[in-house]
Amino acid sequence: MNRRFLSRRQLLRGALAATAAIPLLDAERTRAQSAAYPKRFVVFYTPNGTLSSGWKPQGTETSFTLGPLMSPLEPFKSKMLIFSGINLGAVQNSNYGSEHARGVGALLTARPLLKGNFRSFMSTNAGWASGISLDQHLANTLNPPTPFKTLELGVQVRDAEVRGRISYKGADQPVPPREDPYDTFNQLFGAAAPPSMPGGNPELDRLRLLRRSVFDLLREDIAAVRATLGREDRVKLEAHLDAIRAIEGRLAAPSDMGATTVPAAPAGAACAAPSLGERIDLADDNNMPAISKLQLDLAAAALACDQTRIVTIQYSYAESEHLYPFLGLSRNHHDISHDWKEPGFTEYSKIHTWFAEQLAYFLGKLDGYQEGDRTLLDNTVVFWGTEIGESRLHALSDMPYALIGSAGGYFRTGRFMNYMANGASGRQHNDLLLSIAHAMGTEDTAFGEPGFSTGPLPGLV
Amino acid sequence: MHQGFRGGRRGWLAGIVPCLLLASCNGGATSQAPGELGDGTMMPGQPANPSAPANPASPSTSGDGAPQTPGGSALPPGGTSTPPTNNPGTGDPGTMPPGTPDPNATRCEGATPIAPTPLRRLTRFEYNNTVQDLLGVTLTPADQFPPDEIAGGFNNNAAVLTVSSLHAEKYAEAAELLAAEAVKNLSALLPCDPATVGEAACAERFVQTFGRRAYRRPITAEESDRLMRAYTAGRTDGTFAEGIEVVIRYALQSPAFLYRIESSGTPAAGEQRIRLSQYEIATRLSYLLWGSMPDDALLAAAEAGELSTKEQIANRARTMLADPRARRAAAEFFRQWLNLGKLDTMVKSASAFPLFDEAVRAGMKAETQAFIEHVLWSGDRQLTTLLTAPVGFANEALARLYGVTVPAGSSPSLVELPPERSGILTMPGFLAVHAHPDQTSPVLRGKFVREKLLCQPPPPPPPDANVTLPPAESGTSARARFTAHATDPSCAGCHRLMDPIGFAFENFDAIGAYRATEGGEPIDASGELVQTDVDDTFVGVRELATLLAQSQMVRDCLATQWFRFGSGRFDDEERDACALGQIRDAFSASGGDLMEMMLALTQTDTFLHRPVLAEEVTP
Repeated sequence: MNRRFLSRRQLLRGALAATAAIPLLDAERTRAQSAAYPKRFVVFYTPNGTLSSGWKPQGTETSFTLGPLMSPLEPFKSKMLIFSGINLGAVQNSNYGSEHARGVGALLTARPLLKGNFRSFMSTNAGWASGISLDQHLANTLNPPTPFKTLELGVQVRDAEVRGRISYKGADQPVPPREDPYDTFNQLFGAAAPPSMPGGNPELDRLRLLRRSVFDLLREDIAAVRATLGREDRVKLEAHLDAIRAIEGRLAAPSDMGATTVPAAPAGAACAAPSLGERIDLADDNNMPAISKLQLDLAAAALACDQTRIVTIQYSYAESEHLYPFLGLSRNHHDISHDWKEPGFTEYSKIHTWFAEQLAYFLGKLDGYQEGDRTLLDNTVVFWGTEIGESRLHALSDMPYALIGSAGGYFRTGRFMNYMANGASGRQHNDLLLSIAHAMGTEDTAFGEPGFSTGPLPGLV
Repeated sequence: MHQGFRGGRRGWLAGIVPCLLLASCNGGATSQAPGELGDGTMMPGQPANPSAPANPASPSTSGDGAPQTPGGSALPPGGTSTPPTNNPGTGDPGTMPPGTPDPNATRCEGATPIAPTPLRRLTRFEYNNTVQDLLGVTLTPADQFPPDEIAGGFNNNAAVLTVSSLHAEKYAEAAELLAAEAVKNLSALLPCDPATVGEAACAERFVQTFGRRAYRRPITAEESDRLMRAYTAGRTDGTFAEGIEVVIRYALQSPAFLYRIESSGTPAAGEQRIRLSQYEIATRLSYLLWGSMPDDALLAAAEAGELSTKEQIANRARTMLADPRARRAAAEFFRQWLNLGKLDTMVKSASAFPLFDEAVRAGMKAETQAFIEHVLWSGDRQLTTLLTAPVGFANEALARLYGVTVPAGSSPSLVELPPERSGILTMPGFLAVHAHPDQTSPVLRGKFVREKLLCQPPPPPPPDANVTLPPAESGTSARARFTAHATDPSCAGCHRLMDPIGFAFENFDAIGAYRATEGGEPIDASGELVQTDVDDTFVGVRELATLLAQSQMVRDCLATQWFRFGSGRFDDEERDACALGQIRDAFSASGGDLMEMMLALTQTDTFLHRPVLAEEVTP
């Protein structure tokens, strides 16, 4: 349907009223200056591994130069932790799925895949990941008072199999990303709604009241159906119930309660919805940069406005065959990623550098929001990851992972952490995720597949 | 460590075990740990002799549909090779006439156990069809839902379809949109006139009639109560129409609507399976054959108990297959089987294929639907026709690609094609999704034939394989570029199963246009089928398709694919053996009639039963 032809009434009554009453866009709405700024966690996922020779820093822990593939991140070098020697041990010897599938499944879960019938790089036995991802775990554990407990964004993901999902509510419960920035905008900022008027929009109040009635009835439905099902199907109904719980606050809370249900934007943050402009074709490969910018703008605004504190941003899918015509390339990414010679290296580097540029743009936005003595970026930890290490080898070891932002001063940044130095065998990815969890404020003692966590990574705090 | 040779399902590679036994094929990198074969496929010590029974340890009706192919000899009808038996140990040898080798008799003896079907959530396709049939609207709000995951080749695999918060959000939005649309024509929606019978009484009647259609069965007293509470919520401070609107919003988000729940009935003591209710059978039939909810006639038949005998169900299914709704559902099966879901997101290099545009993409999508309808409803319904008929259905853009002309207009026209074209296997859409953005892929095309026509998924490449595509330089053919697959022993073992099939497709480029040469040299489209029941050499797709059309393995495989799509799950090797055997037999006995294959699923015990849950067994 074409949204431009909807009447205002339809907008209110229909889909676009979804978040209409969240009164958060008052730029003046500020929290007391003394309030603490929240910590945020962002995942920035890009596919098809890396070219280690171009990615790895040269030098020592505190004195190093960025690899050429990382050069767009030079302005943020002092805010980065770059790792060498992080291994995906939990999936290295797994039976299920190709390396791409296993790597992407483990990226945020640090667990192997379940057995299933997904195809991934010629393997046909991959299922979903076998446990919760860090972003969802943090949402459960920290329960941030934000309308969106988490926000999952995608840029031309286009794949609905295991290789196209990074976030999980639990084993077998993938969380799909939002790939349409215009829809995301409406959910986040209620563009179709009139300016927020707490208590002053009876039509909207009524819509939300009726939604509450419906959600209450659905809860009774689900309980009744659940009782008739077997154990495995009950899990599905419980996930469905969780899903309703996750949305009802922002869809159905009374709008004049907004001031209490929606936390105020952090003090000093210039919180504003981005301008999206005319709708563009989301299926056109040439529009990938534009879509990327829209999603990054939305993510930054959502964080700045405290709509959410946990965001995942995903480009394409693991083992992506995306084309990059806007970079002057004609071969697909996965194909290029396995080229052992020129022009493959140059072509692959172009794509990789473009990813780094996207990240740099996003980091710049976050760094532009002042929050007291720090910036929003400083109060965030951004994890840049991919599903394999050296792409030509489908490696699941020595992963090219980096963190940017100190999570409110928790991490000592500006360092190159080589866990393989002096002949050491590296550390497990589980512990990197555990370290992030600690930075965000949990007291977890392990994360992911049992037996792979030995404690937070040394030397980070 | 490579997972490929250990993963997979039992019987997975029954037909191509010899490939795996080439030491070179695993690059010497598999260190098979003992005890890891529980779900694996390869038994150490299995004979490498291709003429030996492929997998004697595994029943012939393996999940992937590959029958045993003893020594390349002709297969018995039914494509099964379970030895004749007089049912030793059953104490009932008299049920089978002596000497009649009916393998299904043993597989299907008694009350066969039924594999569980996970709770099935409506797919986007089913949701759109259902709300249109339920409400008389033309909206397709499920287009805004997250895409349905694809497992085992189909997007309706119940095991992987869950409801995320994004789904819940979109369900709520869709329900609000649909309810608002539906109440615009309130009188058509209502079974009564509120002005005559009174608002509350009319709402009660609406809740009963609408609830029965939305939940696909009579509603319970508790459900009626909840639906009326939704009405009251809307009516309070609102209008009667708003009351009805809220009922619809609520019903469309109810699990009874969004899932296909099969939990009625009480198991008899000691029973492992339970017959589905009439309404549950009606719902299975309608989603299988129409991709949508049961209509009033089907619900009435359920209410009257007219879906009791297999004969009644077969007659009903035949009637349903004649309905236009069956065309969209059948086309959906074939579309997914052919991997044509990828058409929506497929990308092609603009520099290499300037002819490819959105009109071509639309033409590719429309052609499948038209061709399937042509074969199944205008033609002879034969698998052979599906695989070999040299006709296409082209819009103007696709006609240019074919090199033919069609009348102006948006709907595809039937076009007679040159003899190198051969049914579904040379449709541009099929050829294009089984190719790379910038070049053809003999591997992907050969792999499709192995995987989806022969049900022999090839194993993944060895972990140290150089999987870089050879660059599409001018002056060399794909065959020449891929020679490493034939000469490198670590590749050859498995690629000889795929590439020699794929080379036959080389006359068709990465968007399915015909080409006689590549890089200035004539294309050699000769190929070879090995490890099938129709092994032979051939030239071009047409000869390949003609061989495949004669293959029992292909017929059996398609029956397996239909079973998986129709059941919303992977087949269970043991518990589905009976049903699979029956569908294959019916398909073969009909001489390859696709409609008979589709119908045969409705005649199996699997279709008519569910397993008794552990929770239901009273201690």
